[in-house]
Amino acid sequence: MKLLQIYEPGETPLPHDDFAAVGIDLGTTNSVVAIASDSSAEVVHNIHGHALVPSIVYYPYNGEPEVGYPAKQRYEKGEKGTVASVKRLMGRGVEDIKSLLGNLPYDVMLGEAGGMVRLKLNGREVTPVEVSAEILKYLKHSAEKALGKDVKQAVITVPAYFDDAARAATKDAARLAGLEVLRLINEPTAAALAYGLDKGAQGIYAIFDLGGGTFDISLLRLEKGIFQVLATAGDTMLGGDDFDQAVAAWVLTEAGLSTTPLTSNEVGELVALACKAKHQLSHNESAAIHYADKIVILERAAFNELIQPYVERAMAVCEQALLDAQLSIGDVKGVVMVGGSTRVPLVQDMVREFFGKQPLTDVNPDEVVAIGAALQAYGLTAGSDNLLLDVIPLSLGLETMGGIAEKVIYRNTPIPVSMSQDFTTYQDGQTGIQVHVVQGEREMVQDNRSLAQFELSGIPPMPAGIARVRVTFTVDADGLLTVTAEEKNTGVQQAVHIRPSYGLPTEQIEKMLIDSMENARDDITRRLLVEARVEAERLISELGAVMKQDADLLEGSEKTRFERQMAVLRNAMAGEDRDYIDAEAQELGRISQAFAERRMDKAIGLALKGAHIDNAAK
Amino acid sequence: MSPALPDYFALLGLSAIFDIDPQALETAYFSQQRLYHPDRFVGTAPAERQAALQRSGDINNAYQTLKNPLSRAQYLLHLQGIAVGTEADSIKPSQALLMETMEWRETIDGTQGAEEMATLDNTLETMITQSHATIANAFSASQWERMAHETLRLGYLTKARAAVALQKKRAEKAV
Repeated sequence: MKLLQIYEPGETPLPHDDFAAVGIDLGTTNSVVAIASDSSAEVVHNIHGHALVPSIVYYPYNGEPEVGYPAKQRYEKGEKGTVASVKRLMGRGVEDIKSLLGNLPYDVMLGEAGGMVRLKLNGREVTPVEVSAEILKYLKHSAEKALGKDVKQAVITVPAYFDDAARAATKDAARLAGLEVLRLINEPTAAALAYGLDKGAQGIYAIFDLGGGTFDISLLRLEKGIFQVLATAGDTMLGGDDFDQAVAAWVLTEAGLSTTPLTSNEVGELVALACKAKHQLSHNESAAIHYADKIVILERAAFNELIQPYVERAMAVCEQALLDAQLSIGDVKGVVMVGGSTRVPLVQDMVREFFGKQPLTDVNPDEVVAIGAALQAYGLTAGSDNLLLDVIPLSLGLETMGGIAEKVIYRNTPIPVSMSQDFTTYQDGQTGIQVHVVQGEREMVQDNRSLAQFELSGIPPMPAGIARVRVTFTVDADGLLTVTAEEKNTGVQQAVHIRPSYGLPTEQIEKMLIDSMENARDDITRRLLVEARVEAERLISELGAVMKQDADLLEGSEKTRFERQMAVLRNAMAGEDRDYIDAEAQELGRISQAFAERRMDKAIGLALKGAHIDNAAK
Repeated sequence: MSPALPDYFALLGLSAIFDIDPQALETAYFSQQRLYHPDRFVGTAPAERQAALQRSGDINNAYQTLKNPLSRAQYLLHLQGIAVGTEADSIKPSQALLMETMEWRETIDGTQGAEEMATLDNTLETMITQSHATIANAFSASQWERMAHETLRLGYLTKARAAVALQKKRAEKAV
């Protein structure tokens, strides 16, 4: 059993003979999967030679969903039961997507306020997480076919500007698809990794990433294997889809049909036509659109006029990123264009004008993100000397008196990060404190995104102002938040893995996993119990082994305390209560934390002395 | 600032002084993250991963705190048990500092053109550089009170400069 693996650069053990890790760009319009071996990566092509898989899923009344081109053909014909651009709905609540309604070629079930969006497709009800999982499953299978072996782990990219809810939803989707997420990385950061390694770029670079539905700008310092994000900014509701919508609306006006109500089929068809015209206008000066027995001609100049407001929005975001990074335009050595929408000539023109230099279009804008993700997947599993240092895109805070959002971690802080803030009770004898976690830049809670609410209860009654509640925010390397609250005088503690109101509770994910496995329903409780026991057993045997190995690092009564807790855990394992086993296992992990830190320091100390530690413990 | 901060200088292997070499800070930061970043611990036991997450976060906090001269000065004072720039500061601004701050506010409010704003910005930049030198001197002479007052002043000057930048942006937008 490997506890700590530190590899020298260039020395790569091969523990993954039978399965491989891949990189996945889960896009709004198209998705791509790539596979890396050593320092190079390749995208997976299907039998028709396409690397891009349309992020479209078709749900028939019965049978397996279809993903990709077949689903796209149905979508363009306006067939019911197809769903596109689902990424826009990831981690969104009902309230968030009201503006999109009417533009979506399928029925959205709003459900209760604060709940998660559900889509109604040919008699089924599915969540955006499930739709994304179908796309991920498809990509997983494509990669497995190409590799001839199982794919179990992946690095998946998300827009840098995705908030906690959308990131958590993406991770849930991967889990549903049977993929372990090695890391969620930001799309522009993945692109920078691929670009930087390929071109040997050094200095400050901007990654301008305009996709189908999202826009990101990241400013990075590239230096000797370091990819340090200095600032990131974006808009998760801005992309090529908006161009299509604008063209579609224009076509209706030109054809004199703007007052005719459209069915969802007709919307799908019209938007597909608009998208084709957009593609033509990247090469031609005009495009003819045949719609409803009419032909309308869209000139490039008119198209530019339609989309200019959107591109201007992107440029304003660039300005914000420069300001946050405390950089001026002159500091930026190059602007790398990523995402299919950067093929639009007006986008290139406006980027050139803003940054005062020719944008770099020498990478495939559709594939570079997946390539970067695959390279990172390889680095994480096989070892690499490259280091991605990313930041949190949006500030995290807490609601304080009067509905004010008090920031605890500011945007563009490097991650991982952990910050604490102390609060107190304001009434005599108060035994609980409401904790409301929000994300966003606005002053008032109501203008930000609500991530979670919980109550720290069980504080012993004290006069007002005596209790000291420390709320700690921890953002991990995936950009995901955990909040813990602790009353310092009494040690009352509460940990919350942020499951936004719009996300799926763990139980629901588990239920979906069960539903997806035929014939497994009955023994699921059994399976979860077995899993909990296996995990607990692993913890005990690992700790037992390292306690022997590093006995000199044990301090004071640690040995006795660990052994006592191991006994408690064994006792729990003998029972049938999974939650109890998990809780005692967590407690063992918690009390042995300091010991683990000492071991980590020792291992790194040895590594620095030149000793090669491959398997610190077996 | 919360009471039990880890030793940021020790974390990065730097000596605890105000006049740090920015390049040395960057080098130390990168080399520590190369060792402790969670990406280096994928596939290891949960306890190790948790320890790495914590350490890597501390290194990030250390880097962020020490990179900026104002937060660096505040942190050095914190090590001396003096709170500056918090809700419960150990010292109060002097009468002279309050006057200076008020005058700045009036000057900024009374300035309109982008060009005048640029001049103001230059003046403030020079003053901030001088303030850094004063803090460095006070630190090496262990004159904590003087250092605390100058750090408080640096905080006000930094805010004034941010206000100028905002006003300048407004002026440019108006054109």
